[in-house]
Amino acid sequence: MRLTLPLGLVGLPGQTQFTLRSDASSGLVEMVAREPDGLDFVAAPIERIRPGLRDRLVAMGEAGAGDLVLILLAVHGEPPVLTANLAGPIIIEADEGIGRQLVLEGDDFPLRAEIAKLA
Amino acid sequence: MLVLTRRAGQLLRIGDSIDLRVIRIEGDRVVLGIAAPTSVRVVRGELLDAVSDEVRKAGAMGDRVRELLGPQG
Repeated sequence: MRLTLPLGLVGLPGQTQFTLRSDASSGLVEMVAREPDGLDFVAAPIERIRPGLRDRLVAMGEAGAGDLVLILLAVHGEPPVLTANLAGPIIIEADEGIGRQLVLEGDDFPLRAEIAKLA
Repeated sequence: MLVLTRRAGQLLRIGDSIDLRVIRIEGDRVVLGIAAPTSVRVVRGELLDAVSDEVRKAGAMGDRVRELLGPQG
């Protein structure tokens, strides 16, 4: 699936074109920039990270009921810990392949929500 | 950049619908009150910087995340 972020990512306004590939076995989503040597993310649908948070974003008017909400994953520390960037979810109108990245404040939207210890 | 001087209690209006008021000044801190439509997002600049930094890091470690997740992904 092609994804266009017309405004780019936060702090990276030039990063607008991505390819999304879902992995049915893991439930994760690869989000890779379409330019050579571009950004390469592993993301997860928000339901997999924080069940219930999706409904909250819909109630806040930040996402539509049919939107795909992706959370970017990262690894930090040693031993490594898998973290989820809940402060910067990506809201995607799946039918159109158009999205935007939000910036959310508050205790429920940490920048590095710990998901799993990977050691 | 427009630079204005305001005193405590004074107001700035931005566009037709955003009011920014200096509530009080405490040492080197300024307490601001912001009235804006709910569609207007207001976030602290340092949070924008932090999210941007995290996005850059995450975008450079896709292979590492996949490697560490392995079959448990």
